[in-house]
Amino acid sequence: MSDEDNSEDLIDLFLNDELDDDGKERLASLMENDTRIRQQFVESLSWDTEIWSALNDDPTTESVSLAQTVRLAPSRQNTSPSRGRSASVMLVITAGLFIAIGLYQIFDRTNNNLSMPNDLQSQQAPLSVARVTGLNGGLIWTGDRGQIVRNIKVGTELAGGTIEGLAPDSWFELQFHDDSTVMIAGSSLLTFGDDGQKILRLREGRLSANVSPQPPEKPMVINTRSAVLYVIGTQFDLEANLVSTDLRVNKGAVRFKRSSDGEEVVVNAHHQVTTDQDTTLRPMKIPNATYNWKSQLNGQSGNYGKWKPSTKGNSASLKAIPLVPPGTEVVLFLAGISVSRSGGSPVVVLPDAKFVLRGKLREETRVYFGIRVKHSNGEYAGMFRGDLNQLQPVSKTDEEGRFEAVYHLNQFVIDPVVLKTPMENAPSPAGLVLDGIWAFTHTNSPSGLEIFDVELLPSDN
Amino acid sequence: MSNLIEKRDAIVKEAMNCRIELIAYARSLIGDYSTAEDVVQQAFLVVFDKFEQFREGSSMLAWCRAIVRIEVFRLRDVERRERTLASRLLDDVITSAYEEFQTERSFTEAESWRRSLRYCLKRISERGRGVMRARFFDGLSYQQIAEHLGMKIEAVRKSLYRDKQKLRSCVEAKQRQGS
Repeated sequence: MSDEDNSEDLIDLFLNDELDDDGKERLASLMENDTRIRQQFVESLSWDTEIWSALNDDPTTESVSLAQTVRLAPSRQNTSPSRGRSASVMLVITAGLFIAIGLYQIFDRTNNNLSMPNDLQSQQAPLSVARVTGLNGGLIWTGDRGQIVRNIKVGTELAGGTIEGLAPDSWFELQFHDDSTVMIAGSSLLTFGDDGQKILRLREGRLSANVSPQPPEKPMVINTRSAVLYVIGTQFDLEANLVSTDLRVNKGAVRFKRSSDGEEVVVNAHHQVTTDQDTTLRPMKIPNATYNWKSQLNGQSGNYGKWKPSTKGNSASLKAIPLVPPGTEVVLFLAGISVSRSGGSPVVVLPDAKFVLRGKLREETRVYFGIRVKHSNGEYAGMFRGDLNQLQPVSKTDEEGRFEAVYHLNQFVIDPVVLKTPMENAPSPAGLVLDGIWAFTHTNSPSGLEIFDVELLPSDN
Repeated sequence: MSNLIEKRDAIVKEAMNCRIELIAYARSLIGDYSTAEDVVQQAFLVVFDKFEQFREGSSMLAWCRAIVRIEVFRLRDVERRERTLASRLLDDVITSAYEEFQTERSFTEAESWRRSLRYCLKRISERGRGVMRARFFDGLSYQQIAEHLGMKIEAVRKSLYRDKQKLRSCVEAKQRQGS
């Protein structure tokens, strides 16, 4: 049976409220991985709703339950008949605003704590499964009952839910009650829950975890779009995007299952594996570090900005997009690049290294530059800025607006935004593994900043 | 002041044009039309209340969908409905799917399409319409429909599937004629 046939049945069961949790997971997975199934779902619901509405509008429609004096379905038992409500709703539409105003007056909303998508208030998590132990940058947590919290603080107890990193400088560390920790960095989306067994889903982005021993019958399970990981107790890094999942194990072992064919493999310490290989899954030893790196802009997920493919006369680029840092009204135009390991090797920043940033600007202005680094075991090590110690000169552009800016590692200082966090920051990025870079302008209006490439060169010569 | 009222009226009216689309979305998250309709009703009150937060030029449907989502969560909170991880994952992916594929139609376009649907519904057999009424109007499960209409569950399923296909072809043909 094809995925599409399967999805049709699953959607039908879902609409009939007959889908159990396994079925829901299966449907979620199919929808996540297949555009056509997502479209099929929306079309199917849209059709059903149009039919429902047309039947409601039809004056000849008579309830089966009324005609046969049978009991209504459980979901409708405590509600007034649909016809009556529908009629009032239709009146609302035809009478338009008049009724809306009337309803507004009937429902006194002055004390109703209504909140809007951009105006959401924090709420206490109902049942804590974990505690926030470190964070930075824009983050949103959506709890299992829908409460949305933007102002998460260190020490906040969270129930299961979804945490989303909104910017390249976002990172978040969560500690479960058994001291297992997980950290996401950059633009990542992680759903987590713990009802005796920790179940996580990394939809995209990067996750590092340090997992305390779990009961063998209830390992930590981490789902991505293309793999499932079973973790008993270990330390590892995970990177997931639309097409692949990469796992690097630093300590212990992780059972790794490729979703597309169900193939499983155990990945031991100092080994890595990826789903992005057509042949048998084969863990490889993590290669030695590399000291050169050059960005490859190919529209990969995990980057922050608008990717523009190359056209005649123009290189591919990542265009800066607006970012409002939390708690400020400042608008920055920022582009961020997630640093994938070069050929599987960690990219280590040497003390005399330099970063060369090439791009385009609409007008000459300062281009600010920052990096995030981690320890070789994947733990957070700090965020640094290359433009603070010595004020970065205004980037000069050529007649086509192109510029090149150089940032020397010996000028990098700790990013002030992380000083207030309790996480331990390394004194310098030297000797650490590069995890992400970002560049931004602060001109109060779009600067037209586009990044063509960023290069890490090991020597300042 | 009158400008503000005019703006509010225009925004609420535009929001109400998305009603069926919003009910479809709410139905996906909440499980039945009756509650979905209540949630959308509630969302319209929020639109009325917070119309100034709507950014001109942005998608009305997307803005209203975000409000409906919050109202769904609020309802679950009130009813203290526990959500399993699987349900939450599915909610997320459903929301993404709607963001990706649910599009706004003009009032005229939607009305023409709905006229065709009403016309085509009348061309479905009485028995077929009975099954549809039971499913969509009364919200009965396949099993309940089978019991009430004296049919086998599989026959109910097939009848619904077949008649929905017929409706689709009929509406599409009618729309082609119209254009």
